[in-house]
Amino acid sequence: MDLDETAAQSRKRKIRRFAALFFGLLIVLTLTGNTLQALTLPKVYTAQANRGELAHAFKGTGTVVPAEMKELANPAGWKVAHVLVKQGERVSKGQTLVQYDDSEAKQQLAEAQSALKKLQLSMEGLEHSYILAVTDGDESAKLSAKLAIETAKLDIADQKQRIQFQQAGRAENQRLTAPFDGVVAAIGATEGLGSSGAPDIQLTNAAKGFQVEMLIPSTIAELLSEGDLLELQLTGEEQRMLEGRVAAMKSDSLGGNAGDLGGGGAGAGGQGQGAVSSTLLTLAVVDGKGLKGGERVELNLSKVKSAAAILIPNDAVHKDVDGAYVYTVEEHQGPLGNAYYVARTPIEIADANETTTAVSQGLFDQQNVIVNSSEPVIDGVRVRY
Amino acid sequence: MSKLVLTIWLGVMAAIMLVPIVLTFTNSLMMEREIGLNYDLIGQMTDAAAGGKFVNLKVLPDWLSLEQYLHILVLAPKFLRMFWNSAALVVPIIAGQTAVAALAAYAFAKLRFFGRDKLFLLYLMTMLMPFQVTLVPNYMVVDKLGLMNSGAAIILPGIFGAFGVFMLRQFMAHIPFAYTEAAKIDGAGSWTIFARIILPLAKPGLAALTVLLFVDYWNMIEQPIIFLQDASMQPLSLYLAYIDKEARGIGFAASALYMTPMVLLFLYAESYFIEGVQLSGIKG
Repeated sequence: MDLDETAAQSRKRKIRRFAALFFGLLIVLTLTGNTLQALTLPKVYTAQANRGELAHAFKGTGTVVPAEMKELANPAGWKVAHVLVKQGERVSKGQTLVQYDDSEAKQQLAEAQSALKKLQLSMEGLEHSYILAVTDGDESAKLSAKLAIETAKLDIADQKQRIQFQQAGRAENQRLTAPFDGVVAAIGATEGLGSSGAPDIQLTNAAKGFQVEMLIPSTIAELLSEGDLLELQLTGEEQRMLEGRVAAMKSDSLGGNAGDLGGGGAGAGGQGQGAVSSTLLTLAVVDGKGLKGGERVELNLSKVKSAAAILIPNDAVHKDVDGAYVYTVEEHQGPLGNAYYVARTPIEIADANETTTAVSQGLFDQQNVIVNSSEPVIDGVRVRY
Repeated sequence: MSKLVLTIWLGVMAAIMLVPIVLTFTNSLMMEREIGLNYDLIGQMTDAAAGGKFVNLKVLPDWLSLEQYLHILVLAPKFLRMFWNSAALVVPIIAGQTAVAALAAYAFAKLRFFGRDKLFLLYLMTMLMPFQVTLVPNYMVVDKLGLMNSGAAIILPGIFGAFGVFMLRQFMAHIPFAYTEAAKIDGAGSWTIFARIILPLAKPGLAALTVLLFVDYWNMIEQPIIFLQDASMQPLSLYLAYIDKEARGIGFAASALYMTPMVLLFLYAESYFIEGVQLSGIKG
């Protein structure tokens, strides 16, 4: 009986222990449930959507070039005798730039003059035969001699004119002069050689000023209009600000990557990030004093396109056949704590730049959108937050 | 010889009774896929995929897995929440009903007053009617009292159930009057007799009542479905209803955990229970 009693007691003790363990385990799991669960759930990182204006920023560099450049060719193709200017030299209108070897022209002139002399000599012979005809009273001889004299006179006049023309041409082709005030940009002429095919002198027109050309993303170009004034920072030794007026914009459909804009591919007409169609922007430098051309300038553009909207990082935006959407975090309140679930929220994109998307519909201010997660998440998945 | 036959007979019957419980525990340790292999074929005698062999009900898992338990205990807080909901309903009911029933049973068994047996018969009438019969009036009363969707709608009717009174009265009726009369001669009042003599002697009856009530209320389905619309308040007995075919593994694990408190309670109070049931004349 005693033995039975002891056995029953120890059995009960065992059951008590097991029950305590069982309920203890359940209690511990209940209390730590949220924590344990959190550890097994994918962690999501969120960003807060904020109301604001989306700025399109662009930073790029370009080179100052003269607005007009004139190529001056060797007028007659003569050999170059002397080059009188240096590259970069400021020249004024009418100044001689290159002298040419005119020995060939001289030769031709001498020949023409001797031909004239010949004509004049033959004239004397004709006059003499005319006088003979008059004294002889031979009417027909007199007439023919007179005609011959008239013809010779015309020939002489022609020849004189030709000589004059040659002389003028020689004076003109002997040297190359500056057609306007400007700066010598390049010299193609080499002393002692004839025309090399390249223009002898490239002259920039100082009056027409300078310009800067650069490729900018079309999304920003849309926000500019002709006549807009933009600030340019001159880099290099002399750091100062220049002002550039938008002179022309030509869309560059071939679309080289503009500036520092990353990749993107050929997403023609694509909205938002990635679509890089670029525009060739021409800026006329307003006050080009002291510029020579070739200076580097930096353009910092920041333009606002749309009215204030909800701004979210581009990383948060997903797209599929149904359109653009973001994942938001939904909170479900329960008696044992709150649970967070991923919710797919469709949005309408108003505008976007490289980093930020402006949302016109679907989100409200201060809402949290999922930017990143430790594991891929989809709609309805419970997450740690 | 007859003892041997009896032993074999009882052994077989015990084995048949135990099979579902054992299968529940072993299946709760199987992977979902393995369970599918086991049960998708039930109803067919042979397994065509396995070359026409007889369907093999696996008892031991191929690959021991605690995944199901992990799921219900860690990943889905619903199970634990419903477990504690159940406990919050069952514990007050048992405590309340044993207290009320012990006092009432004492009165019905040991005190003499006018109309005692008739009143007891009336009490028994409520027990004879199944829950479904009293459902509508019950609902109306609960609604009028403003207890809908609260634990009290289940706990209060539970505390004043007639079963405990009936069972303890039967048990106490077997306690000889000699004890109470001896106490009375020594000057003990009704309360002293109840607390010092009847209650200690009724311990096996109380234990049996506790086990029976626990089983009864731990398994209740109708009351919570009707009175607790708020899913967050529903007890564990409704959990299995939410489990579909695709989550059988979870169902097995939940069932295993679900019956653990009952099994523990029964094992703990086993000797009292048998004695109590025998003496109170309630069997089966």
